[in-house]
Amino acid sequence: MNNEQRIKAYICEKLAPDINPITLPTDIDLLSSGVIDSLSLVRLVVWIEEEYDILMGDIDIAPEDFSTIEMINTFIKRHTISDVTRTRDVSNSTEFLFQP
Amino acid sequence: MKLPLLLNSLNNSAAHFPNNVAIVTDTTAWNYKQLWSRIARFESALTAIALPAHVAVAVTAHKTVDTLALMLALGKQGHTPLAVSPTLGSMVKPMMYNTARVYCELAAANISGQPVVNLVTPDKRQADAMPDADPADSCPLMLTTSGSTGIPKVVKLRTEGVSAFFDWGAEYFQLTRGSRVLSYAPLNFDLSLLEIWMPLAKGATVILADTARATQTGYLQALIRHSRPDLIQAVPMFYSLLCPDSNSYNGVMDEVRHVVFTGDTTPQKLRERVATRFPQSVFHNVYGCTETNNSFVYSADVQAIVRHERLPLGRPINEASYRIITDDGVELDGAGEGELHTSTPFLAHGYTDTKLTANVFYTEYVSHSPYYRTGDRVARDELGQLTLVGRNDFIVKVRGVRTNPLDIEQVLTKMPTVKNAVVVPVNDETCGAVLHAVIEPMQGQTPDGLTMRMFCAQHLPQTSIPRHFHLHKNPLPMTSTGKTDRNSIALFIQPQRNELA
Repeated sequence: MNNEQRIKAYICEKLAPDINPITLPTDIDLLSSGVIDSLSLVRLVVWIEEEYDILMGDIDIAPEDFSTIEMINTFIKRHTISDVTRTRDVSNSTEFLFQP
Repeated sequence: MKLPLLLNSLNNSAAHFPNNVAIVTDTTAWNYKQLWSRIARFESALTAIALPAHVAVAVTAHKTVDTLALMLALGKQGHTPLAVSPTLGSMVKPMMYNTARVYCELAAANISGQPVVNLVTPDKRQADAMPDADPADSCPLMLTTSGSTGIPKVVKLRTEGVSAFFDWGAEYFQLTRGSRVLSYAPLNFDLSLLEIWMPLAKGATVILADTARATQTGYLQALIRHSRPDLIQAVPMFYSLLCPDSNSYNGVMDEVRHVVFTGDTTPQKLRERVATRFPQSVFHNVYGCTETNNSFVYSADVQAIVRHERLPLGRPINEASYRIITDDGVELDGAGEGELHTSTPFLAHGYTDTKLTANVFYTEYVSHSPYYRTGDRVARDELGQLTLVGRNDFIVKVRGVRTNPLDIEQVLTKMPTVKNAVVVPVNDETCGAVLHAVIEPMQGQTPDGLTMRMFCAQHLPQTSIPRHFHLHKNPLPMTSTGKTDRNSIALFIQPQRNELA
């Protein structure tokens, strides 16, 4: 299972079980299409942190990094090969997501 | 039913129009002479009960001619009937009867055609007379309405209010001697005032739908075709049964002059189906409740009734007046949203529980008019047109944004694959409320979660997109009043909520 399939499986299993993974395009905007809401996106980010061992503390996260499954995959690829400091408190790193 | 107007009219009809049909059931037609005679025989049967003068008497509201005759016989003898659902729980009755000072509960029956009065609750009689010394305080009938504590509230109707309502209804719907009115609602509902008691007071014919077959599409279609009512009044459930989306029956029912929507919001999609079946009818959206009776009416032809996404409340009936009170507690002047307070000529005395009455009935200090807080939220636009937004206590906050689940339901039911939708807010520490949409699909359809989410995203703010969607393959459960049973639906999603937590 590649990254995109894993992300899709997580979304369709944990966040939006009513969606069949086969029908979920990887280029669809997850928030504006209503697939997930901003709080589910926080859960998704936390899962990515744990699943891919990425600490978000020093990473400059832009909202578009998590807009689609493809973009999330790109983000994961970019940061799993970078040297990220792992000692920062990450609790504030997802503030931008807390929008209605 | 202790209403002089009605009793005098029945007496007059029996004397001068004895062969006119008063009530039609699936098996029998009762003319006015027979009905009046039946009432007299129930009066005789009541002597065995030995009721004190002028007491409140509960009547098990089986929808039969005998029950109607018993209620009228009680009224003739000066007693006030309280119509109670035959399915009302036995645990609830003692508390309710105690508050309403009900002397006893009676049920009408017949043995080999002979009227019989059964004493349903022989114990714990309250011997308090109804306060009839002042005619202005006279109560012809008591009805129940749902209570938030689970104990129904007993509403005391007012003689003048009921009489005025009969006059309005007959004039507005052009009912005369010989007109035919369908009665679909249970007898203990306030809808029976327009469907049963008013037509009888005007010498018209009441068509009693068989309660046992009231949810069968084939029966309802045949009933309308054969009985040819001039007036149909019903809740959306009736119309969705009568005009199902998948039904092969394509006939029109063009003898019905008036089709009345009441009790709940009638979705646009359902109105389209109804309009197809009743191409010659005038349509009415009636707003009211047991405490006020009808307060607003919107009337439209077949084109106009399907045009609105949400039907307007229309104009106040007779001299009804209203106030809109904002969340800040001030009266709205101009466009905006708030709780609807109404003052109608049909207003009830209040509840038998005076504390409950004081909570929602009040006298406005400028006009000195009696008002009732409906608990319904309405919006008024710049032109003064009112629309129902929902129950005041339905509005929830989702991530800080005020959200009306009914708006979301309305959007979802626009989807061709969705027959019914209910949105249930579930309390959540972080979000305030998490929205669960429960979807009843059209027959043979399985709406896809992604499609529903994208449809919501196109038509609603992001905070109004439900986080969870649940398919409900069977028809959504309904309450006894024909409204969606939100409590049962909340239980339906409970196991799935636990899984998602």
